[in-house]
Amino acid sequence: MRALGVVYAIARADFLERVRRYSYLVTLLFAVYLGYAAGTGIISLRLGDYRGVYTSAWIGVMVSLVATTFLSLVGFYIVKNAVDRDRQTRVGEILAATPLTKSSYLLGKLLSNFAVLASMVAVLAVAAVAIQIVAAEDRTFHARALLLPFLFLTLPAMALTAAMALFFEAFRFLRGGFGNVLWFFLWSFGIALPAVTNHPQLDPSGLWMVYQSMLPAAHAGIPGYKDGFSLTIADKSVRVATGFHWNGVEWTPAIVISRLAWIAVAIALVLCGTWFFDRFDPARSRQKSGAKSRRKGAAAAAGVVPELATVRAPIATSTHLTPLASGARHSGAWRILVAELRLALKGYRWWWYAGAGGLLIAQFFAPLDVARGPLLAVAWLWPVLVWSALGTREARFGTEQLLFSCARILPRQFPAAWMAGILVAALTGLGAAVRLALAGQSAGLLAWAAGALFIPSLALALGVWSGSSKFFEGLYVALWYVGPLHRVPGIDFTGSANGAQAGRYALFYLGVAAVLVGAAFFRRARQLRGA
Amino acid sequence: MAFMKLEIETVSKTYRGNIAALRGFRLELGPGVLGLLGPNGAGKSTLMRILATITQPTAGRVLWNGTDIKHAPDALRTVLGYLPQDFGIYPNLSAAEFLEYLAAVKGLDAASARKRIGELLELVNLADAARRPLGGFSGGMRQRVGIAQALLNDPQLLIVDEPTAGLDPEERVRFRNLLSELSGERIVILSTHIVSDVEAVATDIALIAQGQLVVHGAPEALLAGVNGKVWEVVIPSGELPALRQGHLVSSTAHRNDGVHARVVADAPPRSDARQLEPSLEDAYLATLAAHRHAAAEAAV
Repeated sequence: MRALGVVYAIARADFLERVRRYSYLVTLLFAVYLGYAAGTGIISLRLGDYRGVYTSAWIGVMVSLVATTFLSLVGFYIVKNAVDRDRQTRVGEILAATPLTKSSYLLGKLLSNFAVLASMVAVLAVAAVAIQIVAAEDRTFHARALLLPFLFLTLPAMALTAAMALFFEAFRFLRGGFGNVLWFFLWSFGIALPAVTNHPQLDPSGLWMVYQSMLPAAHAGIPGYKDGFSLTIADKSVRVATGFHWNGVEWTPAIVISRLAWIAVAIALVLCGTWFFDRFDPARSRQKSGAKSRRKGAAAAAGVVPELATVRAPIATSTHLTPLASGARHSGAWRILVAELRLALKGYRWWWYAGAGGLLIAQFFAPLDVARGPLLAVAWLWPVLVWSALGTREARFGTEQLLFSCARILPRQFPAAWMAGILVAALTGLGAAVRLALAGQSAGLLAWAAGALFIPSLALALGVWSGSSKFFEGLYVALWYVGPLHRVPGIDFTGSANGAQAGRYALFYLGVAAVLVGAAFFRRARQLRGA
Repeated sequence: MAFMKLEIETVSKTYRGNIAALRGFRLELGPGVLGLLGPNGAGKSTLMRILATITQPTAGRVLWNGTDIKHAPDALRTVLGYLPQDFGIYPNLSAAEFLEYLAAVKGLDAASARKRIGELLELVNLADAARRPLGGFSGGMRQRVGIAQALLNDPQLLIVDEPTAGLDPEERVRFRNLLSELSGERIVILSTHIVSDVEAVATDIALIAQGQLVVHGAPEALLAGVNGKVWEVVIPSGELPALRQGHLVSSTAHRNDGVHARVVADAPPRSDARQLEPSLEDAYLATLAAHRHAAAEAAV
């Protein structure tokens, strides 16, 4: 009982700390928007070209699936800061000095993560009721059909999302930007898991189960139906299947157990996370850097060298500071650009540079379509963590006060950081640009330049406004997945899939880049003026 | 020497929730070291942030050589060195690289920056650790990097907020010496809780409490206020609570013959009390106690 009390205390404190921040209101507004999007058809559940009549069963499943899919993607980024907050605030070190066990701590955080996501689900459940009332396509209200999908479909998926976020935080390699990028691919894989593995049980989102439940009624009631089932965004060409009669998922004990099993998986995942969790012991990561230093032949590992190891000068050492010459305070813009570029690229291992170099060389020698298509796409995913630090580095490392008290930050440091991001894009994609130039494809080259400007502009704007790299990492990877990777015209900011429209879309992305940089500049100027 | 004057004109700062951190604070400074003393929550760090152009006052203005820093912050930032109470570092950079980066941000040319960084790393005793990643530095080493960055641009106004926090006694002495040597040619504002640091280097003292300036003057003036009012009494430890009840006890030391208590009072607290030379800590505590008493009476 005492352990449960500890778990509850951890969860309560974490939940209260979160819901008392303005960012929590934003997350609730996001849930409200999802409800609005589902209600107005911006997001719709489709069976081929059709959707069902807005009955309680259809709305319940539709909105709960919207929650399951979109909240599991976005919610991960929202809640993936439970442990990090304790690390940043150093509350973690206080907790680590108590008898608190790792499992109690992580289970408490799991409960808090889950509570945050569940509160967003609750908003969507209310939205589902509102949709049925407003749409008024079917006035018969079936509470079970409307609300049970939230209970059995969405909440287990939220428990799993909450646990994944915590597991990523516990595991050092997944804690940072790499984990944020990886989550998008893992999430995509999770959605497709039952189809890919042909195991209907491996269905964390519940999409497959709902699909199977609807199939007989769809074949019987929709003329020419050919197994299509999807959640689509901004596609209004859907027709209402008036002959489709479906009373909702039949929640048999087997189905309910298969859904609730995901909660058990979530708990098991978190308990596995205790194995990797460092319990706020900084020595764990230092030991790593120590090993690295030894490999380099350094005298000692920087992280484990005690302060006393530095050579001490006598106390009475006089201060020999040469006064600065009057002209010394006016260096060229290139100097700060080089400094920003060095800062952006510092800390990456050799294999990162080797990968970027390999992709660059491949762009020079591969066929042009491959060079500007998949190769450029991968080359512009490779530095995602370099870009995601733009605009957030100061907040993340707490150097704002040092930097913001310097002169000419807006006209010097801000554009230098942005330019460093552009240079990274230009360097990693240089091969494709040269090939396009040699082939005389001016529209393609313009599209390339627009992409090289768009990416760091997006990173800078999201970074400066949110103060976190997570938003860029999540959004950019999603855009990259849909655009450059799956070659969706218009969304492909590299221009490769935009065909004859490449020039037009390039101008669009240049315009967006300008707006984004303007927004970032405005925000940074406000930050510099002080609150 | 360039003209240097910092004027703080009735500056107030109110945070959300109507929490007043500063109330009509006024001060005028020229070259020298100002020791800014005050209890926790007195408004010292808020004042430091306003002077460093990080935060803007809710009312009032700050003038640097006659220019309002709200409208032209770069006039001050160009010649400002600032060491905040809490600051971060980039863990993947070495101390030298971090200073090179900040030198570029501050607009120093490469040759001057290189020379300056070398001197500063020697000065803060980090020359041997200059190429190590900052991520592995101890708190005291990071603090010394912070001190070095504040001096990068040879500042005319140097603001240091709790600069000796985390430094060992030896480094603290080094830093005090450094401040003393730097003070002749610039304005230095040293905010701290450690009265002995102020006593060692300050040419001027400002005492702040509840967001207001309580007193500003030379250390001698502050000391003069408690001259002939500091006493030592030796009492059994059981009598200490009663002594504290009726008097301002500035320090105690447990010895074999009892507790040696240092008391600030107009009259001897006991007939066997021995008069002592006042210290700045006695003066600080006495002034603060008098201010609290006056504030309480005003509230009634």
